[in-house]
Amino acid sequence: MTEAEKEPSDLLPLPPAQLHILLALADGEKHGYAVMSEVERMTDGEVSMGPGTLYGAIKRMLNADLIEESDDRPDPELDDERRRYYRVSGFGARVLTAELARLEQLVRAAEAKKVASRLQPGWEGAP
Amino acid sequence: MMRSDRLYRAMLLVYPEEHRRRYGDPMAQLFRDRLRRDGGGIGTARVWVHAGFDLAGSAFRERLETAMNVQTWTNRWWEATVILYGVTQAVMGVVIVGNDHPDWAIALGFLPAVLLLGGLALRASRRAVASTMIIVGSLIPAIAFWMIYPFVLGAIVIIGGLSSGKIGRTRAPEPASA
Repeated sequence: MTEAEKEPSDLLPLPPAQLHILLALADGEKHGYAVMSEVERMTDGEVSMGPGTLYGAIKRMLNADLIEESDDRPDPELDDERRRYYRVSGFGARVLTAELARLEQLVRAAEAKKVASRLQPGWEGAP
Repeated sequence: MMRSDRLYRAMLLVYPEEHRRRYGDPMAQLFRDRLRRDGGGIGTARVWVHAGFDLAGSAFRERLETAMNVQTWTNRWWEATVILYGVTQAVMGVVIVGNDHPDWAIALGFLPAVLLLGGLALRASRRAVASTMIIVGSLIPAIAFWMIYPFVLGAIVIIGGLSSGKIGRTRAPEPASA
């Protein structure tokens, strides 16, 4: 199946780990540690991925063509050239855009229902 | 640091071999990076606890996926087995129709053939669906045989055991850039 034939909607909703990794890679290619650090920074430390979770997700994302390994190696003086670098693929960018649109729509629906204020303690419909 | 690294590498043995071969080094590297950043005193203990939970959860998932992964079926022999199994089921379905059985029996006769052959056809594009179809397609006749002819199931288990040994030696192709 070529990239043009694949539908981003087939992969939605994205698992949280994959969404975080795609977001971390959105502004450029990174190696595993940089991805992990960026995810922690984006979520104020709420999400911390271990090596197993991170590379398990990376494996699945490579298989799904969401990301690709970068052949461009950084200057060896600036970084360890044995590290593997990853970047978002064209298909991955389309999937990320579709997922963010889906989440945005969900937040808009929740805001329209005033869910947050209704579920305050004391409201009779609150769990 | 060296001791922690060696211990972590030893713990990676819980992952499937294929996963370890491709990601063992970067995982160990990431663990070292984490230890370098957060280690020291209680920090080291925290890194280890986090790594332990991470390892337990992710290794279980990788093992499960490896066991169910149709993608690793690059082996023609294994594909031929599924095709043979599916065709046999289709023939049994035809026999059931010929013997004027009720509709549910006819459906049950053909269903495994549809699932097995359909799963094989879909494995390139919809791996998860294909995997489920083939597993369910294999289970239906196995359960039916178990209920009707328990000794036949014994034969299937022996054949399955031999074939799984064969599958276990099958490896997915190494990615070009990995």
